[in-house]
Amino acid sequence: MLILSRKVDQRIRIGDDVVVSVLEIDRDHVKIGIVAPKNIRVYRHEIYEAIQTENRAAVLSDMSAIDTIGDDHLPDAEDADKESDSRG
Amino acid sequence: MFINSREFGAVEIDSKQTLQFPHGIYGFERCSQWALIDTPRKPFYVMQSLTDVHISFILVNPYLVCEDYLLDILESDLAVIENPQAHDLLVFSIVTVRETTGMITSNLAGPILINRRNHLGVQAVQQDTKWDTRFPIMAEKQAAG
Repeated sequence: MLILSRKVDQRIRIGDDVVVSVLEIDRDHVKIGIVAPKNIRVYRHEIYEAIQTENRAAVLSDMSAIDTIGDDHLPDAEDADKESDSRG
Repeated sequence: MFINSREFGAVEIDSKQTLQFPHGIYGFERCSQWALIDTPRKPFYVMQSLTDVHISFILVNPYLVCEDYLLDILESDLAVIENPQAHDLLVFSIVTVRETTGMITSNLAGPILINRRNHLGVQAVQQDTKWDTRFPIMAEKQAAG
């Protein structure tokens, strides 16, 4: 891993298009600014990890569990039609 | 065309039901080809990988699960599916049925976005951290009822 030491207002350039700036430091809290092209997806790492973990749990799910639930406990499919009408 | 699905075995689908996810799904990055299949249990759908028959997800309309659901995503996520017009954008949430507890939740943090004009799909990441990866479906409906 490349490790760089930066102070507030200093920046790091990654490739031609990405600039990372240290905006503010307050104890253990660092505010970082990122300028990147629109085709680069920038996320907080823990959210990415949570979604990945949840996907791995979700892939094991099957419809049989949903089939056993009474209709009154499920989202209303008729609302789904209204929803798509209102958005369409 | 017929495809193999984990839930329903061989099913016939229209080419309109095939989807391409250029970046795959988080944790399943290599799965780029999918099919969206209706289920007898509306409003649930199944998204079946065309690469691996063992990989499929249950999807639901998140606006039904959570009335005040709002998308808060990066432009770069929409760019993956070539910036659909609002009326071409389909939004789904992945459903998890937990085997041990039977609890059913939906992932509001990582919505599935589909451009129905070009069949491109992406799993976006909500920028607002208030959206839960494990939002309870049934508890919400029971509370509302």
